[in-house]
Amino acid sequence: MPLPRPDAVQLAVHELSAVIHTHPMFPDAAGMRRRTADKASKLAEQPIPRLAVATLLVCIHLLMLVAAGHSRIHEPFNNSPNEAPYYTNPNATVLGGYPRQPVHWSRLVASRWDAEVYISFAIRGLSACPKTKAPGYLYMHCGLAWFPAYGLLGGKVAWIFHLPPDIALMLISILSAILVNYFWTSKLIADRIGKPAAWLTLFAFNAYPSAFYMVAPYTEALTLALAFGGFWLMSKDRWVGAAALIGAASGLRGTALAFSGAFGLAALVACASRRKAGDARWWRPLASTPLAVWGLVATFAMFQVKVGDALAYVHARKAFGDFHDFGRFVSPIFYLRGFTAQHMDSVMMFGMLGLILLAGRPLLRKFTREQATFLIATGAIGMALVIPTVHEYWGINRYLLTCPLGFLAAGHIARRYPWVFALWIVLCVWMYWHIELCSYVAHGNPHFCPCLGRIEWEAPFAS
Amino acid sequence: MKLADVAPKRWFRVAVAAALVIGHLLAFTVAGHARLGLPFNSAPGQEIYYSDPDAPSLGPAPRQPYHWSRLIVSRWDAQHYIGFAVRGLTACPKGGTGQQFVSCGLAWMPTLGLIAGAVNDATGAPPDYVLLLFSVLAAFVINLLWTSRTLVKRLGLFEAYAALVAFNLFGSAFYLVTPYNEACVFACMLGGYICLANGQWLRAGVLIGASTALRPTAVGFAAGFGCAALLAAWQARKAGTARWWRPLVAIPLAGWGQLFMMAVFAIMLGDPKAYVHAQLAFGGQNSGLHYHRFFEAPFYLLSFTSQHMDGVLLFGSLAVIAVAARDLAKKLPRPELAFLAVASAAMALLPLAALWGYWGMNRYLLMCPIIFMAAGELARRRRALFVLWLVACVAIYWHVELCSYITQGNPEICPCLGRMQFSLPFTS
Repeated sequence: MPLPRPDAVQLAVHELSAVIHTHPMFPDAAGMRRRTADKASKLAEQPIPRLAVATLLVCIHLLMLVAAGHSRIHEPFNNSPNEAPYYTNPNATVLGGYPRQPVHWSRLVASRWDAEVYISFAIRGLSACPKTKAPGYLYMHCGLAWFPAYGLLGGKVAWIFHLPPDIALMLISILSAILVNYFWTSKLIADRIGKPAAWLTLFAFNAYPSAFYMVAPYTEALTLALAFGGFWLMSKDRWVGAAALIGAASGLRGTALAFSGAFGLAALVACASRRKAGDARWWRPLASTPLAVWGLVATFAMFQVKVGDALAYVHARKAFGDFHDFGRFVSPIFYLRGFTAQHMDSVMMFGMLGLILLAGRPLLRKFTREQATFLIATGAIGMALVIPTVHEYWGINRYLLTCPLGFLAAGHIARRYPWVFALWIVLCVWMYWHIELCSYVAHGNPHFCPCLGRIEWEAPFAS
Repeated sequence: MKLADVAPKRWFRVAVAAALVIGHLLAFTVAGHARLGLPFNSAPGQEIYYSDPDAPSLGPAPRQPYHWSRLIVSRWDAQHYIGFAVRGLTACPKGGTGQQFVSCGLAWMPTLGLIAGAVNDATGAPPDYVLLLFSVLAAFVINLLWTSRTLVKRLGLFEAYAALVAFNLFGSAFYLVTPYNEACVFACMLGGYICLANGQWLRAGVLIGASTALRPTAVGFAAGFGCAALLAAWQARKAGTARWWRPLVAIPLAGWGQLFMMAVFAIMLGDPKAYVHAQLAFGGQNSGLHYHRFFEAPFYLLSFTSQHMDGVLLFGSLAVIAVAARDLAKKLPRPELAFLAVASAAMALLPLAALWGYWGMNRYLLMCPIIFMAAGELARRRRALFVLWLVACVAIYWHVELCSYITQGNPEICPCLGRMQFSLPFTS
């Protein structure tokens, strides 16, 4: 066999050396990784995979409720599948003794606490409320210490689709939750903070301790869906549409005023920028702001017409025991005692604040000034409304669920500070299962939930 | 004159170190007045003494020695350290049982008390003041060391000062000026670290060994030192250094204190493991190490609602480390990083496995140097977060830890306390 010429050998060695030094050791593996990453990146933009993940996460919340029902209180998801909630006394008070009406209101493991009132509105509307101006406690007894819009909507859905009212309410929440999850991975968010961060934001949101409220007969999911829709339209410069959606949210819960306030501030910022840029119609965003409270105004108008008092909600809340303690804002004792509260609300409050500070300006710079204003103001106004008024610490973790900046911050810091993100997720998941979800399904029973802090509220839930 | 120009000067460092120590003492004085209406010393001129030299250390209140709690800084374990300073080991029977050793106070390490007793014998100074003086001097030394040339070189001037501030504002930092061994132990450890950073392995070993004589959990520092020495020797060998094995020689020295105390116990009490037996008897059914806790979510969650909200500082510290670890790691040579990481992990995890509930966790975290170095780094990179951390620490310092300490866990005087674990009268 003839030997190869020395120069040919040298050439071969040179080429091999070039390959070794310029290509990875396992080109196929590296290529595969790159191809997988490309494919995943493309998939992450497609509507169907995004919708699938959004739905999967909602299903996980439902599964967690089922698992919690079995393991904590040994109850199935629905303990009265053949009989929907109903009233034996159509004028029964929502805050009377136990068991409360409507009968079977808590048959679903997802129906606890305030769900009773929303289901009540879905069944009997405002029929149990006085028809003319009455003392606040009478409004409170018919459920008006909670906004009725969500329950009334549930009643209509139940009537149209022939569904039990609790299932109809859950359905509204589930669909809204899917929309919210879909929003987190939308182009709007992904373009701003990057695709991986957007997806991590989605996971941080769903791992949050009170995230299961998104599938409960509560107003959180629908409120967030409407507010996020408003944010999306606002980002597309469609201020009237945005105001209409945010206004609709304001009719669902009192604290949704945070979104309206944030929208107003964002509109102000937009106007200032446009005026500076010499836009002749700079005032347009501001003109839409009254629409951002239409839900609230409509609710008050309905109260005036139906129950004879536009401020029935305010009076009912007063009768319920609401107060304002603005000293809490600067009281270290309030925040410290929050750590030992039933749901350890200060842990999440400080954790979220820490995440926002860690993400800091680089995160906000990724958004336009209007968007950043909306995000900051939503959290700030939301907390300003909640902190002075909550009974003890009840619900703070749940209210924080409506502060999108905290979740965006979590997603944003995940790449630079993976250990901080991991620590946050672990803490959230622990609190989800051992604290919030357990306290929810067991109605704050410390025997079923040994991890709870100082008990604030505990009630039987049998119906 | 700019602050950055003055900060490295010795007089400024001394002034800051002293001011911070005085700050703790002032905090005690103010807390004593505000919470209990008591002065710093409620029995000046009175002698600390035992009416029964064999009085049990864990009997009903009021416990002996009389007037042990006269200083506002003397609470809880201070009774035992002052007890050792007054009567030494005379109440401990030779060849006694674990329970008998508990009764004479041996569930606490007697070293610092015995040294204070010797000073008391030599000078006639009251034993509680002697112990306090040890701690105050050690705290002053620690504060000076935080801004020493070595640490400034490693961390940076601003970061070193920020670490000093973070250390002194930590929720349990006031223990530095109590008749406890925390200050002396930390001073030995930090001194050891500085020697280690300068390649003085024998000195470092001696200092860290000394800390193990004062408190048994300081074996965590010895473990860290061992890892650092191994890593340094390996690096030196790799670099072809002729005497690469030198750091290894110092390893046995890092445990001399513990061995010495065992020898003392063997000679005086006929049981080298007297402390261990006392601890086991004191712990009762809860004694031993419970490693399974590390993997239990409820254990961590319940720590947030415990008497001193220990979970807040535990998770806060973890978060601070997680944020700053990468930048800190870039500044420190590998052996030093190994020392700090292993020593801190051991100091946090050992007590975590052995604690009664969560009692003392915040105090044990004070012994983890990496937390404060990371906080210093945080101050440079994320100032707002650093401020948030300090605010949380100060709130816990004043409303939770210090209040619980001076009142011995009285929830009526300290409304911020979490789920009660221990509450005792402190009259003496």
